[in-house]
Formats: sequence, structure tokens, C-alpha cells
Amino acid sequence: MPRVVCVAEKNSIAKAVAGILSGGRCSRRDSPNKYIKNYDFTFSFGFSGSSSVTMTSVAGHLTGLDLDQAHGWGKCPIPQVFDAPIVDTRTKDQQKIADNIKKECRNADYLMIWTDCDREGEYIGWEIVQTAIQANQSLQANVYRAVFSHLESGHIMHAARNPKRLDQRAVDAVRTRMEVDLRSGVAFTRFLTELLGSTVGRDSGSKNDQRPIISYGTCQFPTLGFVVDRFERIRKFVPEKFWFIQISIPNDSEKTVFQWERGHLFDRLAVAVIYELCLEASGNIAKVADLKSKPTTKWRPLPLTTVELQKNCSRFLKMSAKTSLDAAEKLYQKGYISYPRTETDIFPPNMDLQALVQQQTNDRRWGEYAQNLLNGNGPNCFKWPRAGKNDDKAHPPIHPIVSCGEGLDNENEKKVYEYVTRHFLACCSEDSKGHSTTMVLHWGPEAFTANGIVVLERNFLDVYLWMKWETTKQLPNLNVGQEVELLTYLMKDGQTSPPNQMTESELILLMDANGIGTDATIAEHIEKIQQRDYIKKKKVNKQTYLIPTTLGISLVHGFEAIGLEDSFAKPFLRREMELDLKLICSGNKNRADVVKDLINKYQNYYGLTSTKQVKLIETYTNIKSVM
Amino acid sequence: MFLQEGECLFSETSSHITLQAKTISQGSREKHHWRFRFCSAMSNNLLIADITQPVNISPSNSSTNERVKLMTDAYNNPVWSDRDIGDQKMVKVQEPLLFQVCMVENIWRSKLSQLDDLKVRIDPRNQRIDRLSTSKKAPNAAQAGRTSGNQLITAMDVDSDVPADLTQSAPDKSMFKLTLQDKSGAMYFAINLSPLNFLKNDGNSCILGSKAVILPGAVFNRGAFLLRDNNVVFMGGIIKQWNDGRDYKLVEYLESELQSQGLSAQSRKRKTPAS
Repeated sequence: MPRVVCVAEKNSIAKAVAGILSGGRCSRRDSPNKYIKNYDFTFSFGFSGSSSVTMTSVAGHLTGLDLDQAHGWGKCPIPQVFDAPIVDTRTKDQQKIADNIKKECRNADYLMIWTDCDREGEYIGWEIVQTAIQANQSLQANVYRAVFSHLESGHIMHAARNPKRLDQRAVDAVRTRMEVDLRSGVAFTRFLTELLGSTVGRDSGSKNDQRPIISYGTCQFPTLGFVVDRFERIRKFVPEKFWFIQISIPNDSEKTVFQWERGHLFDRLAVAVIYELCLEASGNIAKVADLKSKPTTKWRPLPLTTVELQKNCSRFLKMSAKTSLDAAEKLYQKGYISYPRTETDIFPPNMDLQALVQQQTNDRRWGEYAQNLLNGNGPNCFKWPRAGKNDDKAHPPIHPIVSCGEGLDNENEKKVYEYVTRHFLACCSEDSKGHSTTMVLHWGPEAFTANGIVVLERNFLDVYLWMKWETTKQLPNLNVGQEVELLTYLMKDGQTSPPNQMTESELILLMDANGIGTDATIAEHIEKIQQRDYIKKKKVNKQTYLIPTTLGISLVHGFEAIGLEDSFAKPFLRREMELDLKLICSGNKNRADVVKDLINKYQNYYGLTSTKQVKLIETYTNIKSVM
Repeated sequence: MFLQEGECLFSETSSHITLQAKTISQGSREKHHWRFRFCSAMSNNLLIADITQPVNISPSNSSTNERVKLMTDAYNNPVWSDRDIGDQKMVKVQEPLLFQVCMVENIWRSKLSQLDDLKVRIDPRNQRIDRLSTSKKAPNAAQAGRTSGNQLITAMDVDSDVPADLTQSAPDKSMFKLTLQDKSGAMYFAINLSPLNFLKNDGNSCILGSKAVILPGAVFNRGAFLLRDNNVVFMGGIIKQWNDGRDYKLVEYLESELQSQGLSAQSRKRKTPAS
């Protein structure tokens, strides 16, 4: 019987896939790494027929990149790191895992990669292949790749029977990014730490005299840039006065206020002149110029992407991006939800969403809601979700796979599961329906409006608890053309107020919109700049804000002073790189050219930075003295 | 506050105008030299002239073109009375009047946001990156996307559940305060009550020193002409020097305005760190 070795990205996935393919009849063996198990069973693949299968896994990357020994910290002038030889390295754990794969592959006929289906997973697959052929050269031509996005059994069976090949372009793209990140990161981290580390350490009063690492990362710095820019916007904010006209008419015993269509103007004279014009033309009488009454809808959410998940968990549940993504990962590994790293906000048309809704009918929190959706009697019955604009062709939007019932004891996982499920049910529901009325009054030549809303059918709002839509007070009963005596007609003033400090949910959106990090790594970057003490969390009332530290501000302004702001603290360079990586993936650029081009750029930046390094110190000293 | 004390509301009119006159005086000093180079015998040399200086108009062409005729007539008509303009309440214009545009101020947007845009236009690297500008005024906002070159997304509306690119742009509500000057040198404000074509593009379409005729029927109130598209005819034209480094001058003007506002509103806490 041919022997097939399957390798997944994590043990939990190996376990789940083995369970499905073997129909629950697999035996478990230990590996040299205590978290990795080997699962043996038989299965009939299209390419090998009935085979003896071992399913094992890695734990994320199987190798790391580093400079060779001769170019370690302190052993060479920093500029040499830009063209020092790069070696693949393994940690002790990685070595154990690699040994296991080699051992299992020694007598194998086929290798099947079951890593996650994203660019990173493709690269990990490649690392596995490299390791395997070290032990068994003949495997090289017999590598397959399973394409799957969640652990539902039908889907996994389909993936096993329709294997593809590894995508070498995606592998190249990841390798490019890793190399550029490594060289630029090492160069600038060493440089910054040696330049500022001791000073910063002294100032922060670290006890054990340990010099802090001042790291540079191609994503860390732009991430920091967003936060510092907001901080500066607030610091430099000047309130400006504005003026506006507001009128009101009686409504029962109360009044209805009408807002000026011009909003407000930053010029007192202009508003006063117009106010007088109205007063001269119409006195205290206004006329109903328009009355529009129309159905209105509050849209159900779009299918759930990773970024949306992180944003809303931060906004609704006050969870950090990392916490929510970690919890979602765990839920995926346990088979409760689909793969949580996806950019797709369109459900594929062949998915059986009603079956997924059916899964939820027993839950005591939303079971009845799900059942009502499926019953289809009443206004709120199952409706195919809205389609967004993004499809990464790899994974469907995040959705619950099976009901977890009371089976979760981790608080965060519970919360994220509830959010994912409620979001999914909301996606499959009717939009909320209401009725809106807009009345326009003319006072003199100026127009003023007031709105009233009646919510008629809540629909998805009943399950999507975080969104509010309420019925407002009704407008007075007047007809078009009718004149009405004003209760008040005022010229008022106000002043602009500064924006809020950055919240994590806003930062996530900004990073996503500007191409900093991927949906999977955004959380890590935010976490990293906190670890490095570039930003701090600060709680004001119920909201948590991200505030840059003296060091964080100094780094951003220091590179500005050097003239490198658009390459370091702004997202331009990173975004260019991301575009290049996409071109590698599509076959329009090759890896060597992209690497050369980017490394050249960083070498130039390095040259500039080291000639002007005194500016970094000056900036830090100056900012420290005013903070 | 109810409007009862007209005097109080409008007392600032004259001081405003003085202030503005100062800001453009720089340009005025340089203009003589330039005028002699360009004021040949063209019929519409009014367009490129500083009308506070004698302009040579050849009458032969003035009848050939309605617009030119209107402009010439407006130029020849007696100027608006600049006596006690703060007290002139709701006075109707009786004859076409010719003005040159000295300054265009957007009064619909905050000065800070205008400064942001200006600084980005002067040097795109100045752009702050912390918001997705939902303002339709942002240059190329419509094309801003994930992949476009240096067009940045610098603010996100966290509470919006509608994707940013689906939000529709609102109708143009922009309002401007123009500083106009007649041939006597007197200056007045003008405010557009309806959108005016020549003020498109955030007022940048309106070249300084361009000429406009205010038509009979327009209302003048306490120092300001109230303009609508049916009571003003834009003629075009230019006074070149006034436009030299216009963005930089505007930055300086807005900054000094903000500074005086800021000082009166609150004393600044810190000085800007070295940059």
C-alpha cells in the first residue's frame, strides 16, 4: 500500500482532518515534540489509491531566516547586513518538528500539504517540502496541496479528493517580504538601539540596567505613525468659532427644532447678514416647503471579514485586536467557526447557509431567532446575505460551523463565538425597516430641515444587539405650503473640538485601508509597538485610547527631521512593497528584482540616517524636555 | 441670541475690511510695473488690468460683444457708495457694478482643515495619516483606494456600517466670502447664497484679480453683497502678481488667523517640538 504523509499547520487541524478522513478510526502516536502528534489511518486518495496515511503537523513556521553567524550583532559593521548571507535557522522546537517530518517521510511515496490556504500557509508548505526532501529526494515530484478553508467534514473530504499544487509565486512573495523585513529590521534595530538604547533605558529607569531594544519594523513604524499623527493633530488643534441659525416650531407642548441646511459657517458676518435677510423677509413666519415621507432601511451587516471582526470586537466587546483574533483562531481549531483570516465579504453561491442557520436553532440565546428565520412565517425570514466587494478566492467570510452550546469555558472565545454567530444570523436576515419623514421649512430664502423616524420592523436588529435604531419623536402635523409661526429663531455659535485620540478599532481600519500588515498580522504589529513602549493604552471613561510615548513621538519626528518620513512613519513604502508582492504572486515581477530594488532603497535610507543620526538624538532630547 | 441689536452684530464689518486690505497690499504695490507691460489697446484689457488704475478702453469693440459691453458699462457706472456701509441695510443694486476679486475665503470649512489640504498640495509628504478624509473636498477623494499611489486614507468612520466608498457625496454647500474692489479702490465683501460656478474647486477656480459684474437686483446688506447665480456675471481675467505663491500666502493668512483665534481661546500649552 502506498504511503502518504500529510502535514497541517497546527496539531489541532491535523487531529480534526485525520478524524474526518479516517471516519474516526485513526491511531495516535507521539512525536519528539510533545504538542505534535502523528495520526495513522488509511484513506483512498485520487493520486495514490488506498493508502496508509500519517497525518502530522508543524507549529507555524518550520524555519526562520537569519543572517549567518559572522554577521551577528556587534560582529560586523551594520551596513554589511544588507548583503550578508542569509541562513535558514531552526529553534529547538522547530528542529524536533523537522526531525519528525523527516522520519515520517523517509519511506513515504507522497507528501500532501494541509497548511492554511493563505500566502503564509503556502510558504510554510514550501518549508515542509524542503525539509521532507532532505530525507527523501523522491518526494519532490509527488507533492500535493489540499485546498480548504474550514473543518466541516464534507468540505475536508472534497479537499482531500481534489488536491492542487503549491503556488511557487506565493512562496516567492513571502520569501521576498521575509528577506526585506529581516535586513531592514536588523540594520535599523541595531542602529537605533546602539544610538538611543542606553539613553532611553536610563530615562525610563529600568532596574536591571538592561538596555531596551529599539526596534524597527517595516510595519511597526507606519503603525506608530498613525498614532503619532493623531496625537499631533490633537496637540496642534486650535478651536475655531462658528455660527449658525436654528429655528423651532411648537409640537404639542414641546418643540421641534429645525437645522439650517448650510450647517454652520466660520464667519460671523456672513451668518448675521443672512439672519437679517431672513428676518426682514419673513419675520417670525416660516413656510413648509417640502414634506417627504419614505420607507427607509437599516442595512444588515456585510459578511464578516477578519478586519471587521477585530474592529467590532474592539468596538462592541472592548477586546483588543490580538485577543479577539487569538480567540477566533482557537474557535477555528476547535472546529466551531470557519477560518478567521479572510478578506472575503461575499458568500459563495453554492454554500448551504440555511444548514448553518439550522445548526444554531438549539442555542438558548438565539435558537428561537434562527428557527424563526428558517420557518419563514413572519416578516423576518432567511435571506441570502448582501454581497460585499472583496473576494480573496481562498476563504469564505467568517461564519459559525457548528453550535457550541455551553461547550466553551474560555470567556473570550465565548464572546467571539457569540459575536460571529450573531453577525452571521444578522447577515442571513432581513434588513431593518422603518419610515422616515423629512420636513423642510423655508424662512426667508433659507431652508431648514427636521427628521422623524418610525422603526416598523426590527428584523436583524433583534439578533445584532450592538446596533441601535430607535423611533424618534414625530414631526408636527403640517402640510406643504402651510405657514407656521416660529417659536424661536436664533443665531447661535459654537466651536470646533479636537478629534479623539486613536482607538484600536480605528487603527485597525487605517492599517487595513492603507495596506499595513495583513488581516492576520495587524494585531501583532499593534501589540509589538506597545511592547516596545512606543505607544501606551490609556482608558478614559469606557473608551481605551492609544497614546504615543516620548520615544514613539521622537522616532517619528526624528525620521521626519532626517527627511525620511514618507519611507518610515508613513505607509507609502510599505504599500509599494505590498504591491510588488502582489505582482510576484501574479507572475508580473520576479523575486530577485524586487528584493534588489527594495534592499537598495533601504541601503540609501541607512546611509542618510547614519549621516544625520544626531537629529534623532536631538529630537528625542527636545521632545523629552517638553513632554 | 435674538437679533435685536443690529449694530452689535455688524460692528465688525469695517475692521474686517481693513484687515483684508492689509493682506493684499503687498500685491498692490507691485502691480504698476506689470500693468504697463500688458495694458495695450485691447478692448477687454479691463480683464487683466487693476481697475483702481486708469484703464484705456477703446470704445470701438465695446458694442460687438454683450459680455464686453456689460463689463464696460459696469466699469463706467458710478461706484457703490461706501459711506457707512455697516448701516446700509438691505439695499438693492440698481446698475451693473464692476469689481475685481481680491480674496476668496472658504467660510464653510474650518481653517484647520483648509490648512491641511493646502499643505498637502504644497508637499504631499505633509499629509497626516490618521484619518480617512470623508470630505469630498479632498483631492481625488473619489479615486482614493487601496492601491492608488500616494493617495492616503487618513481617517476611518468607525461607527459607519456603510463601506466608505459607498457613501454618496452631498450636494455642494460650499460658501465663500469674497473681498471685492471697485475702481475707486473701495472694498466690500460678497457672500454666495447659492453655488457659483466660478467658485468651484474649493474657490481655487477663481483667479485673483478676475473681474465680476454684480447685476441690478442683487442685495447689499451691511457691507456684503449677497450673490446668486442670477445676479452676478463672472468675467474671468487676472492680476498676475496677486496669484504668485497664492497657496503660500493663504497658508500664512490662515495660520495667522488661527493663531489669533487660538490665543484668544486658550493659551497654548506647549511649544511645537523641534522639527
